[in-house]
Amino acid sequence: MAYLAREIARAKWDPKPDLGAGEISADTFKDLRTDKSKLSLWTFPNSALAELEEIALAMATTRTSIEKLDLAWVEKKILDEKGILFGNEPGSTPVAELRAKHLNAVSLDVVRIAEIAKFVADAVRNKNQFRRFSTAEIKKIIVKALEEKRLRLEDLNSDLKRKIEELLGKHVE
Amino acid sequence: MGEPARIYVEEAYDNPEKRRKDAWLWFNKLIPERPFEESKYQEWGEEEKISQFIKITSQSEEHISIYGLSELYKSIFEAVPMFTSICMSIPAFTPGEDFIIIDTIPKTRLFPTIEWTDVSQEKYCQVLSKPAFITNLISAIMDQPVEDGYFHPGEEILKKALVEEKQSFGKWMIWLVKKEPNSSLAADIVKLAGRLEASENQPWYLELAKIALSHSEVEVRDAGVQALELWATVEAVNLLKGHNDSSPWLKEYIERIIKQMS
Repeated sequence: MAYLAREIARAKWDPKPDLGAGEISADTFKDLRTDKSKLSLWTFPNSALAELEEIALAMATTRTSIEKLDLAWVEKKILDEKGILFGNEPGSTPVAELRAKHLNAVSLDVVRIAEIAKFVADAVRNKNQFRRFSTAEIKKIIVKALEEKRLRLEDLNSDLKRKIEELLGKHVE
Repeated sequence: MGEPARIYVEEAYDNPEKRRKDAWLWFNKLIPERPFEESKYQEWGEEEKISQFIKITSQSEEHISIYGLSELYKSIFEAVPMFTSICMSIPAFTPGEDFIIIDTIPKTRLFPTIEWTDVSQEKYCQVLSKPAFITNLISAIMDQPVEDGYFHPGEEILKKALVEEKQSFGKWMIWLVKKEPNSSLAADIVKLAGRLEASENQPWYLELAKIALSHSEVEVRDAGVQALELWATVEAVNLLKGHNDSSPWLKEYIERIIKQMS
């Protein structure tokens, strides 16, 4: 079964006191920002931790600093059934072998985005389809990828590169 | 709009002579190189009194900067005899807003000759107008939400303020998070604070985290956890250990990072 992952801010997806228990705060749309009606997603085959770590690696290496990362995922099948369309587009991650794991949900209107929000909320609240990677775990994942030469320091943006160099005790100019 | 300052003044000073004496002591302690002469003060008009007050407070060792006086402050100024409202009521205000209690002030440092035992802590307040960094920070967050792992312009604003508002920075941050009704905004402020380097000389960071952890909204508590995770000091770990969150997923996360940080 294929899954689709998206970075979220977990706390926004909890039920809110001023809303009904099953309702979803409109603030969650901040986690579902689209560009040209496209929503960036990452695909992976199963929810084993190793697969999730791959997605975390792809995302964390595009950032400017090392911080916790919240991932939520839904089954691709349920979005297909709702008529959500997808288009392939390589991810912008510096980890070359992971770029193909990226795709976009396309031609989204507000109704379809709201449908996606409902599935994400259900996944996070009821199906435990959520994983938070701590700062320490993100460090570990990135350092491991560097050691395995899946990632080159020089491919990281300058801020993240400097922080990784500090972490590794390398000379920083 | 409360009036803790006036109550405080009235209770603390039933002896006008003593009150005036302490006011002078305080003024001259703040700016010893330019002692004030009481006789001169009495000759000043109201406008001059206000302008002198602005001058005095902006030069004080507390680094209090007053950018303007609200009608509220003026009324207090006029209601109580000279200096008392300056030295004591320290009614924390922001123009057009209500009183705020910033912090307690070291009693003996301000009024060494006064017996303070009858005055409850709640009656202390501090007159401060909002420093510019508060407005700039809020604008920066409104323009662009804080995203995990990505630089935010608010980081630079806070770094600068930490240097420029050295004495009052922590108080303002704590006030801001306590007062902010928009929990997402409060959470973003805490997250940005978490990106500042923790220092033993800046105990405000732990106080800020405590306030965040005790917030009713999980978003703010989560931001507090994140800040403590980034600060990663022994005190930060201890604070996390002592926190029992009501949200199961956050509680599980706290337990995990405690192990990783210990």
